[in-house]
Amino acid sequence: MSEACIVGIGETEYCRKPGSGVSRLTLQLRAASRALEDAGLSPVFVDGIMPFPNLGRAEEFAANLGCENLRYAVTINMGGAAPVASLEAAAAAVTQGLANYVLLPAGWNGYSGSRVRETVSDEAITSLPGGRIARDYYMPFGFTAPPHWYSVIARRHMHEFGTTSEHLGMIAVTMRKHAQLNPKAVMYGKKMTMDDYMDSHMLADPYRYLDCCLETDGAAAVIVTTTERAADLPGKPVTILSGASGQPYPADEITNRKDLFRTGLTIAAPEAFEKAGVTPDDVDFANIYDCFSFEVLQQLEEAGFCKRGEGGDFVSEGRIELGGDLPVNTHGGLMSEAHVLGMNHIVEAVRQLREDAGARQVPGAEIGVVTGWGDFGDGSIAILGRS
Amino acid sequence: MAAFDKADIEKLVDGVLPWTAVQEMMKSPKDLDRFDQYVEILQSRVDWDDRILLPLTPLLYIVAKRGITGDGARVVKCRCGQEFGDYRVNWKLSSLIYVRDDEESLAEVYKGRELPDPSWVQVREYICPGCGAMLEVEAVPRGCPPDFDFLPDLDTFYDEWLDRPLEDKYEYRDLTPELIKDWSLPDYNKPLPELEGFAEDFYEYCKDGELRFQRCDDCGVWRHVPREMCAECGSFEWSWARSSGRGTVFSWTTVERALHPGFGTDTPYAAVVVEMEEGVRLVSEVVDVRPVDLEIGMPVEVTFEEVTHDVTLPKFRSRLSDRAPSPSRVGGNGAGVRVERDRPVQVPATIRYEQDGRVAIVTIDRPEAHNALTKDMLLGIDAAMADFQEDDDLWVAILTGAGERSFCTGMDLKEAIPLLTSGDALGYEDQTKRQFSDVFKPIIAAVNGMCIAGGMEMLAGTDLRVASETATFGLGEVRWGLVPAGGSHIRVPRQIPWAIAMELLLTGEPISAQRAYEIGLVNRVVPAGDLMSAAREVADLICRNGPLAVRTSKEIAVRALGLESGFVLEKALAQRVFDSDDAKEGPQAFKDKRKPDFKGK
Repeated sequence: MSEACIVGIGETEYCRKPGSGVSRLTLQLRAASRALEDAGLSPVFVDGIMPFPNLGRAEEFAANLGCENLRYAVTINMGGAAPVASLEAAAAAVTQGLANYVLLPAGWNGYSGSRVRETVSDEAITSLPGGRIARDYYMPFGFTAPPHWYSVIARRHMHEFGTTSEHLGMIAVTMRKHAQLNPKAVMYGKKMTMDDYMDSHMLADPYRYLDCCLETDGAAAVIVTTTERAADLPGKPVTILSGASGQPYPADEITNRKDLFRTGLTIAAPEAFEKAGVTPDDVDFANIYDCFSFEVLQQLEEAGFCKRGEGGDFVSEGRIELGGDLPVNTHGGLMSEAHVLGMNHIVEAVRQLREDAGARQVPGAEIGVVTGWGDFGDGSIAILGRS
Repeated sequence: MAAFDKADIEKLVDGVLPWTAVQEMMKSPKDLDRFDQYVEILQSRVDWDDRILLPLTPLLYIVAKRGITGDGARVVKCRCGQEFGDYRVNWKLSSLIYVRDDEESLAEVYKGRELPDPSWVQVREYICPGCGAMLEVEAVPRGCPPDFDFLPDLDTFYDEWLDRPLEDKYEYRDLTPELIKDWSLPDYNKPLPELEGFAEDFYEYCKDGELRFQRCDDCGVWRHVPREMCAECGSFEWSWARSSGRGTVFSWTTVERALHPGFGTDTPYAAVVVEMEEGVRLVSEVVDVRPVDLEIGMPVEVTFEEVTHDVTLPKFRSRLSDRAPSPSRVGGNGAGVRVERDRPVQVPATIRYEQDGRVAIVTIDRPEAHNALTKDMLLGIDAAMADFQEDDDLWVAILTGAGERSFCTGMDLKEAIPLLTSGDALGYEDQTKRQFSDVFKPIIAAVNGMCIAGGMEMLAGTDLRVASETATFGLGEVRWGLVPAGGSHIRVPRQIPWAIAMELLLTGEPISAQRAYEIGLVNRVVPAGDLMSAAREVADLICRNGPLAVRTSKEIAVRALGLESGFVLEKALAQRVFDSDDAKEGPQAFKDKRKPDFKGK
């Protein structure tokens, strides 16, 4: 059976003030065009498009790009876990012949347009899985935005396993440190110390301001096809060794779970490693969906990089820095590069596996992991390999 | 020409420099280092390191922050250390604001003719969230934005006046509009969104003060969020059932305004996930614990608070009894948990004034003397009731006595007789008033034993009454040649039938609890052990109701009785008894434990 791979990556500039100045669609079309250019592919060949939930429709992309032969148009409704979950679905689609070339765009004016923190004032809330529950049972109490929802999980982790603010701070500081090697990063040139972290104000206890990802404008896109087709293209493909996604139970409600730490990734990760025939020890770097610092720690545990409860130690002493045991988010992640819904994590992984990451290259990177986290803990994971 | 040295400036800062010297200082040219000395003095008096660039008010300074962000950001800072953000943004927006915009609150400040018209004027007091100091007051037309009094051009000042430029340059521009442009104030305190089915029912029950969850008819599993099919047993049949209202803190976070709470009023507050005894977890707010004092596992109990006119949301109060004991808290007494009031109310040790949720509990605690009142105790009860009346968080009071023998046996004669005969009005100078005349919130008497003389007079000032089976009631004053001039002549005949009122007043013989129930003097008689919980039940019934309505209802009923002229009459006529020889003979005989020899004079 043929394998799937990523043949093109594209990004816009990432910015905050004064904003991109263009529409959300234009942003994503720019990223898509750059991905097509990177792949050496004409849009007319793109017959599959998997837009990010609520941020665009396949029809719009096709009409603007000129994809005349669109036949696979699917959106996976998993919030921030969607891009990585889409990678799995796109791989299945191209290997099963549902589509030949699948475009995965994601992008938004997260700074100058609608902000995540304003979910409460946005119709989007009710289109989330569990959005009505959030609207009716969380928001009346001020439990309105993602940092509130996830912070109660972080609090339990601290309570049960002794995870500390310092541990969360280590993650924030590491993301920022990596961003200093990435001129594209919004936080490039803006250093941050543990003291800065500790001094930043409490936003949704235990989340401080600096535990949160950025709100930025920008878009990224990747193109997936089979290794056979990739052979006819000029670029260096990156193989999708496996992908998997999963849902917590219940997925539409965050507080009534028997086990708060059992998220989508808990189900997805073992499946992905098994399908890829590798173990977490074989992984050279991981791009973990870092909407908040604790979600990095929690996903490292659930993905199997360490045992549950040991995440605090795992992120300490430089182990997740470049040069450490498992470099995490070498681009700076959502916390310090830009919030491009996790699509930038896939782009960075491709760059690393093409050995094209410049100053932040993980030497000899062969296998990389990308995860996604969305909504109330949906999870996805893809294991990528150098071709 | 250093006409004034540091010591002078120090005195100036302290406000103790003589006025003549101040005038002199104002007239003479400034010393070159005056500003530096001034700042140096201010700097020496704060216990933080950030460099003061300019004082703004007696408590606020513009400082260059150090270490925190590393960029020396210029922020407004209170002497206590509280920060108010970039100095170019109106600091008032980061303070706590107390607004006086109705007649009642304005009248606390402006007396009589000075009282401004609240339809035109509102007074705003800006208070430091860090130390509670009042930083500034402004009286402005209604709706006028907070006045940004002073945006100093710091760079020009340091450049041109001090000839010593600051390291960084800041654009001299009011940044307040930038800060507030995203504020969606109309969203603030908004009612619930349009709810669908299940949630609508949930909040409807909340409005009735009941916390209800759905429960599977077939397997009994509880659910808080909408489910149509029971994942446990496959049933589609659900009913609503009342929750115990008890739970523990499972996890929590804080809500602050930056994240659009929308419904809260005071931020930050703690939003908690509460694990209810029924096995469901519910997001809510704990209202009486600061976030820093919250603990996972802390027991909490549900109450309901009116958040808007349309919506009632369940909130949680911590069950403090189950936490580690602390000196400021006392244990429960069958009526839930009480917390000693932390407001400065003057009560002697023999009066306990406590709070349990919406209910104030006043306990006469001198059982060794049959809960007889000294003057201090009488004034203590009145002070506690005055505080109860003032505090919007308290809706009902329970008045009771410690021990099982006596509720209250009136004034301690040893102390009271000399005071009364010397003309001490015991705080009741206004002859139109008696005890609790000004308390228009409901008072429930929990009568735990003997309720005689002054105790009975006090009882007549209460509204609902629960008595233990062993309680007795009586006005025995006439037996000792005295009259109960604490209002009993006016109140008692209006509360029970005439003949029985006369029986009490003229025979001086006490009646039993059962008899008191039969004549309608008390609402309920219960076994002694159930007294406080019965009183609490009554209090809870009242607390379900609109507090303003309850208050007003009592006020109308009491004021419509027009007791004032009766009280004046009582006072005037009673005086002839107090001045009589019999009034001396009676108490003397009481002391000597003999029958009095009355002369009718």
